Order: sequence, then structure tokens, then C-alpha cells
Amino acid sequence: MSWTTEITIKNNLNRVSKCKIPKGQVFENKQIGSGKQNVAAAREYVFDVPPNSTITVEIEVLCINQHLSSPSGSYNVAYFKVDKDFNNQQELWSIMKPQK
Amino acid sequence: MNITIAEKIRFYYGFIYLWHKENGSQTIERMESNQLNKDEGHSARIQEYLKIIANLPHPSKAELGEIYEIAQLVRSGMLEWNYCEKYLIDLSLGEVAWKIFELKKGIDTLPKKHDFTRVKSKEKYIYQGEEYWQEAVKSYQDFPNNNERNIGGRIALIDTNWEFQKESGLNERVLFRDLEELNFVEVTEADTLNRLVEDEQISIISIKVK
Repeated sequence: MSWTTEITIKNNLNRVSKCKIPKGQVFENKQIGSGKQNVAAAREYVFDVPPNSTITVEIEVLCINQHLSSPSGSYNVAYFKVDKDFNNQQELWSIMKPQK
Repeated sequence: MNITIAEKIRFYYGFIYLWHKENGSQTIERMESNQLNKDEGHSARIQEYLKIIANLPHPSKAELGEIYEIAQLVRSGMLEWNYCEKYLIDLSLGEVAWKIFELKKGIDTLPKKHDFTRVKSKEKYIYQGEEYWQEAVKSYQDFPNNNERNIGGRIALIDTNWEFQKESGLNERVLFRDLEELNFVEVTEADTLNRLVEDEQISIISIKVK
């Protein structure tokens, strides 16, 4: 099952900004110990943000923490992404385990 | 509300813009009345001033580079004639120009790339449960996080490491793993959302999972 993440961003420049969200980009829930899943972008997204404008984009995400509860609420974009490729939720959960 | 440095710079530039748009004729009068200035280049200087004023970019659309150039003209250039004028606030246009350059320093010194090597893998012998969260916060404290700018990753590391801990079946011996061990990698490509936020080209208003 996938989830929708709604991202509202503002372009501070007087020109179009091309913005990329790579596949596997991690978004973290803001509250420590909330027990809510963190999520990763299900695929790559590329979009333009018009000059000095605020836009909202919706992207599909998958959960990265199998044992935590469903994601919801406010999130941060993380400085990192999942470093292996995946095609669905089950594959992503398999990646997010320690190597035995 | 999160106001970026770029927005503050545009705010201050607005005072320079408005003063010259509304009172530019005073500059011409000053140039005309300055006898020392009445040499061969006199009319050319007036024309240059008029050209600058005509082309001042609107504060909401001005590039930061353009604002720095104009602020420099206020400090020592064609717009210096009105250095001491004030507009709406108790700062002269010269002081406003200095304020813009002070703010510029803030942008220039923003961290462009974080040193994630400080988040080293650590091993602790602790009981899990509440103690895990306390130790995890300490272990990952060097990892950058800014909830106001909606950028970070520390909590995702703490949560994911906790899951790895459960999967590993280790008792008491808790590892606090680094990015690589948690199967994460830093996003470094240009034009990615986190890089644009770091460079203040883009501000994130909110990210909500539904």
C-alpha cells in the first residue's frame, strides 16, 4: 500500500526552479518517539516551480519502518535516500533490514 | 512563520527601491547644484542615474545578485548621493545597504554540505526501551535537523536503527549505525529538493503525509 505526501514549497527566485525528488528520498516524521512510519518516494519526480510562487505537489511514498504505525502528519525532507532500488512496499521493507 | 534570509534582503532592498522611485528627482537636483560635479561628464552621470532608476528591479522579482549590485551603488556609486536619506524606517539608505551585506554574509556562510562522517557507528551496552531513545538522541545529535525549515533526518535514523536493532536479535548490546549501515545514502545531486532548500532557492512551507 502506498501513501500520498503533499509538499507545499515556495520558489524564492525570480526564475523558474527545476526541482527533483529522487526515488527513495526519505521523509521523516517530525516527532521523536511518535511510532509513526518514515517514508520514501516511490519513484523519481521532477517538476518546475514558477518564479516567486508557492505550489503544492503530491507524490506517492512507501513506508520504510515495517514495525511502526501508519504514517500521518507533518514531515521533514531528509538529507538522504534509500541507497538500493525497490519496486514495491515488500521490496523496500526487505532492504530496510540488517544484513544477516 | 519562517522568513528566509533572501526574503529579509528583499525586504530591506524595498526601501532603496521605493525611495529612488519616489524621490529620484531630488538626486538630480543635488547633482545639478553640486558645482564640483559640473564637468564634462555631468550630463552623462545624470543619464546614468536615470537609467539605473528606470531599471531597478521590483523587490519581489529582484535576483539577490542584482540587489547586491544596487546596494553596492548605494555604499559607493551612483546611488551614494542619497546615502543619508531615510524612508519609513529609522535607517538611512546607506545603513540599509550595509544591512543587506550583513545578511548576505549569513547566506554565504550557510552550510552547503554536511559532514555526515561525524555520525559514526557506535556500540553501547544498554537496556532497550526508554533508554534506547535517550541514547539514540545523544548518538545522532550531530546529524543536522531543522524542523522550522522542514529538513533533517535524525528521527528517521533513530527509528530505522531501532528497527534494525529489533531485527538483529541482539540483547542489551545496541548499535547506533551510520547512514551506510542503515542502507541510506546522502542526496548530493543538484536541483534536488533538499539541496534547493539548503541554498534557500526553495522554502518548504509544509510536508504532510495523508
